[in-house]
Amino acid sequence: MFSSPFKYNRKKTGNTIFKPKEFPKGRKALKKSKAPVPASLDACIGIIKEKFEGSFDLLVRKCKIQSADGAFVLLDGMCDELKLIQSVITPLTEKQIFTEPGESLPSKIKNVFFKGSGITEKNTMDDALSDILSGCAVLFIDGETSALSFSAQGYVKKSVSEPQTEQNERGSREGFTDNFKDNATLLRRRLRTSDLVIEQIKVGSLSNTPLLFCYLKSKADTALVEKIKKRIDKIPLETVLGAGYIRPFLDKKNFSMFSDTGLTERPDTFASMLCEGRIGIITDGTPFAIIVPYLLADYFHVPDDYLTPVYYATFMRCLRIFCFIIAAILPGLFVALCLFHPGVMPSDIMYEIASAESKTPFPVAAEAIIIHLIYEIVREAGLRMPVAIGHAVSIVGALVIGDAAVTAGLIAAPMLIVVALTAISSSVVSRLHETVAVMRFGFIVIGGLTGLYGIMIGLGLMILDMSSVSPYGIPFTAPFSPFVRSAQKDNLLRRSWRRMGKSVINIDEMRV
Amino acid sequence: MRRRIIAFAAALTSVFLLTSCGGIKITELNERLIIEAVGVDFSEDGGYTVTVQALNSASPAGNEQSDGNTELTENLVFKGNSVGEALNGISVHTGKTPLFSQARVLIIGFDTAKKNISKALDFFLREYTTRTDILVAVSEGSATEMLNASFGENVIGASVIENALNSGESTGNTVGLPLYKFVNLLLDNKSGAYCPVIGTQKEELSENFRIKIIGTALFSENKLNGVIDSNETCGLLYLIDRVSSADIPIEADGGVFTLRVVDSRTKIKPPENGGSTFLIRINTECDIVEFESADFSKLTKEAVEKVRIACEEHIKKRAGRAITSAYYESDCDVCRFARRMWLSDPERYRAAANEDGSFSEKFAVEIDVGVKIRRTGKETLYEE
Amino acid sequence: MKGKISVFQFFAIVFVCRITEFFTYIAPRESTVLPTDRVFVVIFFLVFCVLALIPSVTVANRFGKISVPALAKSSSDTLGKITACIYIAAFIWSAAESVSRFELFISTVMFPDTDINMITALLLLAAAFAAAKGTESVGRSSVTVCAVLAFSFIFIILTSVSEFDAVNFSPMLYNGIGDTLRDGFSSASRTWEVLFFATMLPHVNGSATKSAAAWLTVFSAVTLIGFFVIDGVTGQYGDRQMFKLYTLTVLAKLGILERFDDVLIGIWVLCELIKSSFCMLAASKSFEDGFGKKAPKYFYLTASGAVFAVFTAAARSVGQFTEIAGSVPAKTAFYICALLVPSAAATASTLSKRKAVTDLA
Repeated sequence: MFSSPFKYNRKKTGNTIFKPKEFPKGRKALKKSKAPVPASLDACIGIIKEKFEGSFDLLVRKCKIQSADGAFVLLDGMCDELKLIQSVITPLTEKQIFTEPGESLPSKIKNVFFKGSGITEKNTMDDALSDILSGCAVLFIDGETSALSFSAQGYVKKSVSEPQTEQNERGSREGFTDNFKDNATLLRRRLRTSDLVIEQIKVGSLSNTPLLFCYLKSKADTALVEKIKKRIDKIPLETVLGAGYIRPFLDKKNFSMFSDTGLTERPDTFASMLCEGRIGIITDGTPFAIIVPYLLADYFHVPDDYLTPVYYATFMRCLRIFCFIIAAILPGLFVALCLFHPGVMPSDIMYEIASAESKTPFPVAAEAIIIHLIYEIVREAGLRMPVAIGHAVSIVGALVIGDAAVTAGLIAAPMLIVVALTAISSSVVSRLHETVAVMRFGFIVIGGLTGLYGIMIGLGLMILDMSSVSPYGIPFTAPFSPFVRSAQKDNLLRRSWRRMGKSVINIDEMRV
Repeated sequence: MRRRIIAFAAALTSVFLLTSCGGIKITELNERLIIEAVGVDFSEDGGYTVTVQALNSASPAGNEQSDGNTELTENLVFKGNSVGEALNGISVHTGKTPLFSQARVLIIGFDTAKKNISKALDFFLREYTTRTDILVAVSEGSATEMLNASFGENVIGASVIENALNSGESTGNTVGLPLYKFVNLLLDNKSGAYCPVIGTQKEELSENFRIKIIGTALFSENKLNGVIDSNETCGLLYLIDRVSSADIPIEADGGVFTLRVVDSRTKIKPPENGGSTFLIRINTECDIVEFESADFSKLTKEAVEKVRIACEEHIKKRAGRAITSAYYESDCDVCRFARRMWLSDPERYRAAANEDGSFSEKFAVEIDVGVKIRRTGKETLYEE
Repeated sequence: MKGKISVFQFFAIVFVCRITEFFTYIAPRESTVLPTDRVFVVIFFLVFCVLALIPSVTVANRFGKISVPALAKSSSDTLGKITACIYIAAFIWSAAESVSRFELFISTVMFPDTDINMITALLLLAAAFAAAKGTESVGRSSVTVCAVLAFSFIFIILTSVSEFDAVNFSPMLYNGIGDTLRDGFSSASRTWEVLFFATMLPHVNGSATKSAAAWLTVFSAVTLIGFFVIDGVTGQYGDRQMFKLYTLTVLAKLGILERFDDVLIGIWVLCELIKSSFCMLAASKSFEDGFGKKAPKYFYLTASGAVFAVFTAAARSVGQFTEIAGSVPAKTAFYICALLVPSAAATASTLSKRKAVTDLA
């Protein structure tokens, strides 16, 4: 196998003491130091070692560049060593470099030796450090006040696979990965236009997480772009390890059960949203990309809608809305009907429910809460458990809740049917699961206390809450309310591609 | 915003706490007595006997744990000075809250109907869980007897009665009348109220009973004033434009024809230009469903025409008999003649109402029937 | 535009607010006219409402979409404050009357054996929360509610129209025109929604006249159709029922789905929520316009409390409520708010402007 011709200067470390003074926290850390690269190689290495105190993966490879001493600094595992040796180190050490008077060695190497985009000159230590952290190999040369950064990243990453949370039948099978560059490629492959802007922004004073800020120049509203950029700039977090860290900063401040932003794991969905004039944010380290603004109607649209016949897509959209309503209010409604309004039910159905309920020890409302809690526990366990055990948990859950509890007379079968229907319905609109799961309990409680009256008040408040959300001036409930006629071609009803017109609707049309 | 949410949450909690949360009475489904039918009789001591047919929740239909011996329904009989008091007794006895929303029929005992039916109905008009479209019927005997009759194992009596009343109308035997329509007629002093009369008949080969349609009860001033039989009821259905389907046997051209009414429309015209005759025009469409003769005979156009005329006569006769029995003999304005006149000519109505004598004495009724034979079955028509 | 609603949303709000009154129309005490004459009642109602609307709409059209309290404030601070107080009181009364009517209805057909204080408090708290969400939220929600309402109304009409019998009607103007005229006048004098045109038009994008015309026309048409079907189907029975439309909903059924009344009551709860919240919103806007400063932090909760207090006093019994709601002082107060206050504010503003011009000259 490959053996390195260089000695590894791995620092022996013991238990290190964290020194807060040296690592400023929070917003202070965001302010970059403009300290230049010291001319002394030892000073450079000293600063870096001081910064990475105790890090086993910091590699410092000393070498000779012409007559000067040099050192490559990189992070083990972040950099592709083979690539580095073959394309950088070998040519550098084997070839002669002649510098003109007044010309610096790094500039010569950059401009003559390695013509290309993979090499950049760094004049400050912070820039150099940042590149090291990104997986680049940085070359410091004794006597030079700038360093060279070689882009030779080669860290381990997950390959492109099918999105787990947004499965579809007829569309693309590619989903975003954890690597933001791969995600940018996936996006570029779908939108091959220079109109697509992908800007890189770093957030998190400690994590320095790269975000890709994506939009289409010709479609996105400039004011919206600026507004979102400003919000991102103001994110005071030290670490950003996923899209969920950023979303709250993009939402408006008012408390609401519904968010201004949406998530997607699919590059095709992401690309189509950008085509509608929205802004997309890809976060490094997560396959979930953020879409801003995100409206209520978007929760009921899936990529398959555009690949299936119009009548089917329309039917499915109506069904999804129905499922959302069922998932939120059915258990509460059932409890309310049983306790306060049994007259609404047809006699035969009511008789079956009454006889089943008469054999259970719990009141209907308590029963509903218990089964839902059990369902949520089983769901959570299924999610967190390793896949193999997850199946076992599901089977145990199904047997315990589904069969044993009914046979033992602890739970009535009709209630179980209601819970099952609710659970399945909430899976249909899985993107709203968090909202629906909490609201459902609220509806059970209020339905059990005040019947349909309370349910309707709750529903009214839910509608009001939805209506109060206005992501960046676009009503969350648009194009339903306010009714935007031009958007109706792709709302509840979907027109065929022939009739949809040249371009899709722009999100800005929904601004009132 | 956070403060505002806390304020709202605090206010919401205090609403529940200050009103002790007991502001609303919560009744579990198994604490309810699901009533399927109610029977009301005047008792001899001046009060009411109320019979309630309730679902027996201890006997779940289709439940595997059921031993199969428990009846689907249970009948509970209680007495009280009023219907409400009697029903309260049932609550006390069973420990359950009565639920009237599922009640299918309301049976009024014959004697009760004769005395004053409105008193027996008042509770059901005010009780908020009662359906206003619950069917009302008068029983041949007492309502208790009617509801206590067994119609078979695992059979809900109320359901049998409801089916009989509904199918009775579609076969032209009886008038299924929901509570609100019946009350509407009772309340209207320019109309006569009517409702079906039903009884029970023991089946020959078993201990069970079956429903017998007696006819229609006619009311005048809230009291049962007479009963017409099922033939006259059929005529009544023509008059009130509620024939949806009825079989008419006609003897003509040497055989018996059975005609099935497929459509019937009745129009009642108040007297015009100072006249004193109400004109009732009945237009009926029928199919010939059967021709019973000595041998298989050919159906000719002439025979069909004869049948048509005979059918017209038949309907006219039935409607005429119904008018005579109801309007003239029982003083029950089933066709709402007075109201129609009030609508079309209020002055004349006012004058007629102020005059002595009943409305029926002052105005005559003329019935005009038109029958159209639509189909003759699969057999073709022959020229004679 | 931020904080503004469209004409259609405003129409939906006012329509939903008014329709709750129609749902909970307490028949025997408030109306003495025969079924057919209700057509004329609606016509007279329309005429009186148009008269009541003229000052507010004129103010909006002539003075450039300014609310009446703001117009009054432009001539004198004191007048502005007085006008705002009058309107706040009117909106609280309007919400209280509506809530009382609705709770009488709920306690009659939904929870008869229940202490209605809790459910009223719940409704008012929810309304305060809704009002806190702002005009836009209420506007957008009302469109949704309006759509659901339209669907239910059509459903009721279609499912019950088969039971329609023209004989249930009465001769036209059989008892003369007096009762009909009085009924139209009384109905119009309970139309507190007219005051929304005096206070909320600055928050509406679009024509004031159009929204007023659309509201009155659609509401009158719906009322007319509603009464026509109710009377034709339920006849004398319906005439004696306290809540006529409810009687009709009880009859609505489709296949195995029966007893839609409870479901429809639920929809009416939504309407009531919209109405109460919009009344509170209008009260807060009146405060802001009349006093020239933002409404206090807990304005909505205080307004809810005030509504609850009036409700507690008014809705002890059906009799007491109908007497208070239909009393001469209540009617007079309505016409003062609808006719006199906007006219006075407009006159004062014109005079002060003239005076300013004269002083300048």
